[in-house]
Amino acid sequence: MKPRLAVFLSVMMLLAVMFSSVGVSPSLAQEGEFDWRRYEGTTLRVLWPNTAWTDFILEELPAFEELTGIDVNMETFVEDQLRQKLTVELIAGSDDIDIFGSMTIQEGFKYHQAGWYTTLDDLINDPTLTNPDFDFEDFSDGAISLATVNGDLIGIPTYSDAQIMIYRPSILEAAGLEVPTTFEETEAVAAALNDPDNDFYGWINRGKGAAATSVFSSVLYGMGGAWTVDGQPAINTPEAIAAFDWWGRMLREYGPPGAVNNSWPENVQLFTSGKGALWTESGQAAATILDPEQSGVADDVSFAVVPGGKPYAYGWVMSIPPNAPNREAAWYFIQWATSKENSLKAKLLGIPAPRTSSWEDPAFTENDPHPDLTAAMRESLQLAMPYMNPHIVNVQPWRDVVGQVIVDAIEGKDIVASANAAQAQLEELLKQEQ
Amino acid sequence: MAQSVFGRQLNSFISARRLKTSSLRRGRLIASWLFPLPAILVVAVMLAYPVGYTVWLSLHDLSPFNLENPEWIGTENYAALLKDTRFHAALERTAYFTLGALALQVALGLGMALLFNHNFVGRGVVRTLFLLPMVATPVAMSLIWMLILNPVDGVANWILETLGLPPQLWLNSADSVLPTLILMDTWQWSPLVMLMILAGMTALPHEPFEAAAIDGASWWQSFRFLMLPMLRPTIMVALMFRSIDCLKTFDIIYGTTQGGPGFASETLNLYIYKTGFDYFRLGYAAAALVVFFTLVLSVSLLLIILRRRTEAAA
Amino acid sequence: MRSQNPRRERAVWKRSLFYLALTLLTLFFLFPIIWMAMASFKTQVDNLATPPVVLFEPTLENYRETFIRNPFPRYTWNSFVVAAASTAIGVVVGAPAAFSIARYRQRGLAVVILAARIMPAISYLLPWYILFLRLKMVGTYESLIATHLTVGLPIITWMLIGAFEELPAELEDSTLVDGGSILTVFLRVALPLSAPTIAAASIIAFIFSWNNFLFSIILAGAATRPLPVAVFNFVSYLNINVGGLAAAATVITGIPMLLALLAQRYIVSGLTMGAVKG
Repeated sequence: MKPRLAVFLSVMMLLAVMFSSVGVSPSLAQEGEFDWRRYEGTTLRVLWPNTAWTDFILEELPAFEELTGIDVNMETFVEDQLRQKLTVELIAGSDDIDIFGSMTIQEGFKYHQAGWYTTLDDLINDPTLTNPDFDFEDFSDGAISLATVNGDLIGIPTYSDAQIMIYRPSILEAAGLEVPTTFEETEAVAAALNDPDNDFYGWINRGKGAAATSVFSSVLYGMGGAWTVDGQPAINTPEAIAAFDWWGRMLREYGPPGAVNNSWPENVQLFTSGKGALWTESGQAAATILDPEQSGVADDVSFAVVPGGKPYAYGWVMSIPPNAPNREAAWYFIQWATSKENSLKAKLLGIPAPRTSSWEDPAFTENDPHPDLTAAMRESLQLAMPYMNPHIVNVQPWRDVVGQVIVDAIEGKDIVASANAAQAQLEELLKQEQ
Repeated sequence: MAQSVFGRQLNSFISARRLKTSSLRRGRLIASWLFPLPAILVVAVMLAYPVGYTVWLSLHDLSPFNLENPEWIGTENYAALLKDTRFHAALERTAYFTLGALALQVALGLGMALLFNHNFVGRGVVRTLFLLPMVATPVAMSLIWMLILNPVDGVANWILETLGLPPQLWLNSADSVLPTLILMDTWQWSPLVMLMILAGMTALPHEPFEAAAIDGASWWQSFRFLMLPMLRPTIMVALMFRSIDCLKTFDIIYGTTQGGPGFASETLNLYIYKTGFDYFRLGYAAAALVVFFTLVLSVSLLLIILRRRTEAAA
Repeated sequence: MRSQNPRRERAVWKRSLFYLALTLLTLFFLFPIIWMAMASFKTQVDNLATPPVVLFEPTLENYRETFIRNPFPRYTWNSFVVAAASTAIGVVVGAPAAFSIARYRQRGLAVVILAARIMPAISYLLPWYILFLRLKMVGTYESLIATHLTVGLPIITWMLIGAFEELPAELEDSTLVDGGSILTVFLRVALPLSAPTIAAASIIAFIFSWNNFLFSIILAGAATRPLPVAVFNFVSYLNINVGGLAAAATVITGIPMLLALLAQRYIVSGLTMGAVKG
């Protein structure tokens, strides 16, 4: 009996202490100082994609929970499953999501139309809710455009990324080749370095249907084409045909066999095991390729602007849905996750920061381990365009249809016939959308 | 085979047998309703309701954005299906996959059953090992196949090259993806066909074969003119189960290519999955579903009728 | 004496060909499984080596990676909960139905339950999905168990119809004559005598629920995600770790394979709804 009583008493005491501390804590905040503990005891539910930034923020998360006393449940998913999950929950009117991630360039118009975003201006402009150090003006214009749909600021960008070219400097050097900037030069370099007998390929890129359309956009726009012209699909224009032809030829002639099933995981595997010379991907790929734990080429890799100079811009944005149970606490998490401090920390890991200060901070500029990456990223971000996808609601079926043309192009089939068939299907798709 | 429960159930269902009289009529009446009641409820809620709802849904325009008030559009979805080239291509691929897999699995199953009809050391062990593919989780095995069949560094191409054969693109080419999927399906299911046919073989009477041997019939003759006709009902059952499942194949396709490269392995099941759960065109997906399950049910019915014919003939 | 040699030679040839065919077939059917198991004990370097390494120093690192650094124990538990619950409900619901079908020859019901096996699963999935969406049940164990029930119920019911039909009628009749009710017959006679089939049917239903991917990929949530969906995600995420993937696949497929060995005499019968006795 006695030990049990002792346990009971100590639990009671513990509870008493806990309750009293809850009552006391707000007064601990000093006048004028931002009160981080205002929403202590809240639990946030966050639905978020798996990205390199995600790995970073999950490591930092305990610091936030200690600072604010807010618990964060971050449920992370592979991109496509996140989309499906979110759509399901938001359609069902789920009232327990505090924060979700979206890529406005992919699903922004759909979510905006469905009313799943809220504008954040009220929170940013409320000095009792926003830490004065947050400094919204610090976000670059490009980054803010990633978080803006139809003129509404619907979230805060966690990182602001652009497509870059990744290459193996030692191999180019050994062959006496310059880093290519045009499509012709790129093809010449890929052809010169391609050595399939030794499992080495001049060009690594995505060929997997829908997944390839985003990286392909830089070639489409670089050759003067566009997804749509005057609101109509423009997949079978001469420029688009030329782009498909180039993309297909590059992967067929100078790429790994069977590139039609290759997407991000396959390409990381190929490139980090030293099987490729040139590759274009989202800048975030640098974090993986430069990590010696995951990459066998970490010490022999450099970066440049994509050939044609029309990289895509994208980034994952944190938003708060209309019926979030803890809107203010959610905002606490967002402003902490995207703070100057965290933006800089992520930047040091190779994740492109949405804030200008991170790029200019001496902590970064003086210790930048990869100035080549920084230079390529900064230039790419300047050039980047929001045309990874067409600005329509039903992006998913669009990508699948265009993906078929990419596959046909890689397999050396009749591109014009394939593009015409796709054009007809896309016209039908856009008609349904109206 | 002669005493297959399945055959008995089916036959007596169609040619309704006279009920056995029992001394406890009242109790029987209550029991005959109470016992199956939970199952009837499950069937009603989990099967009948969905099928009815799907048919109703197929006459509506329903997307996530009008979940509460679907719009009645009559047969518009079906009319659109008639014009949908992607749907037609998916139908063709489904037929190709099913016929290819059936042919290969029955041929291989029959051949293996002939081998296993002999006695040899370790027969029991090997037979047991042959059960493994059919219970191995299909998605997990798909991922393993992807590694094995990888055209850059997969072990399958290494084996081919060692044997002096040209390497293949396997799943990574629009031309070879369906044959490769057929091969994967055959890996998983031809042992089942083999075991089904073997069970049929074991049940065959010995006399006709002994008589044929005395008459000087060759092995081929007694196989072709005796064994094969006698095995026909068994083979029909195998065909029935395999065709139903081949038409519905999902896991190994989604697990490897998700219908790719491009649309090259997009069968009906995959197309409906995408339309419903990726594009969220729920009404349209429902119309495609109605076509799909009508197809599956017709094929099963056709095979049931054919089977009754062969049984009647035998 | 001499004339006998060619015949004997032919017999030897035949015998060798027979064993060659047998060996090749066995290799074909076991190769992926053996390859998977081996890869799960290899380092990434060994796994990527060409030609493939056959002799290697086994490592447990892949299992550590998968089951300690990733939440695979959680996913395993989810798979177990769903498969066990749906199988248990399947037996509770299916056994009396099978008994009634066997005893009162309710063919119609038998065929309707068989239809559950014939219909494409996706044709239930779409309506359920909409239903669960409106009930806010997407992602719950309940939705998964309910859908997995349609995988197990037909198997259990049809295997038990066969078992109950084989019970000698005299046993049941004598119970009834002794004043027992039909419920007594079911509980005291039919069930105990069919225990081996019930066990086998449960194992097979469990296996097919465990292996199910389609229902789970749509209806599972982060907290209820079962193994097949988890392993599928594992690949899409960043780098392909061959050994880690193989370790996960070995555990996922290993459990149904071991279970199948327990019920090996019944597997064929279960997969063919009792149409073939294994």
